[in-house]
Amino acid sequence: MTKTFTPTNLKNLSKPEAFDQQNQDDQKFYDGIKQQLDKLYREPSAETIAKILSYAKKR
Amino acid sequence: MGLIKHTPMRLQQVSDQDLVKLYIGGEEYVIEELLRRHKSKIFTSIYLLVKDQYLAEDIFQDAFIKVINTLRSGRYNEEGKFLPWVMRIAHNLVIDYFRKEKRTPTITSADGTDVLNLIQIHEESAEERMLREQTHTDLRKMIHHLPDEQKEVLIMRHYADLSFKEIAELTDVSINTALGRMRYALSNLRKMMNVKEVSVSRS
Repeated sequence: MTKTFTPTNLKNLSKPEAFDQQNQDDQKFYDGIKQQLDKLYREPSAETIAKILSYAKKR
Repeated sequence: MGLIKHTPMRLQQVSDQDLVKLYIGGEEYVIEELLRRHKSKIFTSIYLLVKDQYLAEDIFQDAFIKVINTLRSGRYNEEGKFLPWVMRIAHNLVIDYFRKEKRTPTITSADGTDVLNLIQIHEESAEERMLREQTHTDLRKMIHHLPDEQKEVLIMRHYADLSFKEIAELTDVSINTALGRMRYALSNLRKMMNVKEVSVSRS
């Protein structure tokens, strides 16, 4: 009797598994760049905030 | 809610919806707390879409003036949350700006990647060596080079902290479309980072 086997590294992922893998890769990549993305936060100038507050308090 | 004066410490514990009610009820000072909570989320989102500090300041100011006018006129719909509502106003102002500007068209590939921009990034990183050290500058450029729909979703999800449901409602697409755009945005960012890494390793 001949023994057969399938090498696991050549096995194609079924579609749902591939989709999950893609999701995991995306999430991993996103988690990896979150800190870099956070460094791009900016604040409006104090002058702009003052103008809005002044307008908000006028009735 | 009444007209009870809140100390700054207590104001921090009041929900956005209750702060809005207080403002409508005549407590004008609470707008400061709403601004403190959301200014960087809203401003960063506008800035990353328009790419200009001064223009972003103008749009941010106009958005809040519209917010204030709507609250004063009694036309505010309490069903929605405050932040997505302000983001919708800001988003519409950004769209109005680009409509007036009539930007040049971009050439996109099947997955939505701006082909010319990818080439441009490659050349820039070769020419401007100093930028390689400035990861945040590079990342900002990469975000700018994403197709508009993908950039919008990435910015609203990460910076404005909106849910995919809120993004879908704001941009008038299905939740699946919003999720798909986020996936393409991340995939394109990854490609751009790879292009940059290759260009750095070759130089």
